[in-house]
Amino acid sequence: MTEPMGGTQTVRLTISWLVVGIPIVYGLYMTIKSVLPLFGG
Amino acid sequence: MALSFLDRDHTVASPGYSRWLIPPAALAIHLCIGQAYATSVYKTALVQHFDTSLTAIGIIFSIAIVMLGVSAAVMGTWVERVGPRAAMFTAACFWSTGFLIASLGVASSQLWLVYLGYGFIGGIGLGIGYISPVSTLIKWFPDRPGLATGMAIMGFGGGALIASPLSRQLMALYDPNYDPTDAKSVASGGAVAALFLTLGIVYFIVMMFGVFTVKVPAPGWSPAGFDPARVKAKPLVTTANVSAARAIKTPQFWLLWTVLFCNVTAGIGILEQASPMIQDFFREGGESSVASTAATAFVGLLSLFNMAGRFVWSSTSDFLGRKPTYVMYLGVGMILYVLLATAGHTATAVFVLLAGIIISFYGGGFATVPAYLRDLFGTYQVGAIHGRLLTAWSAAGVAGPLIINGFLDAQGKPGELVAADYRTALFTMVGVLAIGFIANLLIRPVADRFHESAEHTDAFAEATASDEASASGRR
Repeated sequence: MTEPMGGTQTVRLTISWLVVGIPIVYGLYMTIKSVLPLFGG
Repeated sequence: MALSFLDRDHTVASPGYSRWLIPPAALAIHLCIGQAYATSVYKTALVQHFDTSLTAIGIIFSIAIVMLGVSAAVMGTWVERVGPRAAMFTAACFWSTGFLIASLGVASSQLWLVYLGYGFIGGIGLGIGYISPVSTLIKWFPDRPGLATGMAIMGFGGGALIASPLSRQLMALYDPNYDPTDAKSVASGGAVAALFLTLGIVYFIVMMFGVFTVKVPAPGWSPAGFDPARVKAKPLVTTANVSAARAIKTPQFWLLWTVLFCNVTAGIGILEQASPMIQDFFREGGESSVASTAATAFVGLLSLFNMAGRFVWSSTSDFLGRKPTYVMYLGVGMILYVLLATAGHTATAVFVLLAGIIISFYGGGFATVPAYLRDLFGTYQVGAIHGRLLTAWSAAGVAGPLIINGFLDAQGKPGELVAADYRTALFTMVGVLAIGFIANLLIRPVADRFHESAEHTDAFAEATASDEASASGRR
């Protein structure tokens, strides 16, 4: 069996990276926010 | 059958399956198990809830890290045989069950249940989960193994960045009296129990996403435009294969074990002491010019350097070569430690920059080592060899804090130390890095006598063929 190509593959890739990307962005945002006092922010 | 999704038929990718689906599958596992670095968030709450010492609560994390090393070393060959899907599923079950049992332990005020749940059972999930995507990533990215493993192992660093703020927000939700913005506010035991229950469920769902997404490439697959001859042309990169059992009999394995041990020992020394260290470096007349909130922020900043180093340096090693990359980690690391000891107290920015680069090398050392193993021992059982090498991490987890705390205890009391009190400990770390530097320089290609015969190239495919042969024999 061949995996679906084109649009379906793109959707799957997008969802997969969003599942892990959104938590990473959340973690980075919260950490950068907590780091600001070090620079007087 | 309910678990048919773990079958080998479902694990081998069909033609057209994008290899860029594998890094998010690996990240789904590593982002979850990386929570292990965020235990400090609820440490005080557990101390109060169980009315015990910080040491008694610290044991939970220690058991988990010891179990990580033990299970990665012991289960590595099994992980190679059953493939990433079954291994990730097992890791998800252990990791989540660990949280659920720990939640029960907190709710019923039974500390031993937390040791058993989070420490012992969760620790097994940590070890299996850590190594489960490694060899799969290397098979999908023979052209960029450093990039691929760097992405996954970056997730382990990133897991704490997510779990720390998320845990604070969830505990505030479960305990209205807890204020996450107030450093003195402590959450109730009930809030921690509910947090563990939530994390156990959420992590299981996210890890199952990884389970359903991960696949191994079909035998003989290679990425478009990939020329194995170019890989072979690089120094120290083999196209032969060495089994895990044989690898631990080679000097290369133990030299690399020493390299990882030294790199991690030096890095943990700073990570362990980060918050009081920055305050001590800028203490004059008993008062530090760095506020405790800024010191906490410094720990967060180091986490960012740790995470970034894993991805950036491991990816760069694909171009620099693995041995020169470790020459940089250990050689430049020595210079940075000397600068930290002698000039770190001159300005906060200098201190932060030096410590940040050192920690990026610490993270980079973790992320680059699977690709180094693949260069030396081939892809056959690289995940299992990686599992055995991680015992260096467990050993360094004991040695690093012992060295730094031992020297600092001899210098004075916490809260009264100054920059000069750190010099002996930091110069000792320079010596530790020098040992790792020499060990790295001594690494040569593995002797031919350790190589497997040509038919041993893929442990997973071999296990599949063996199972099919025994099944047809029974028919």
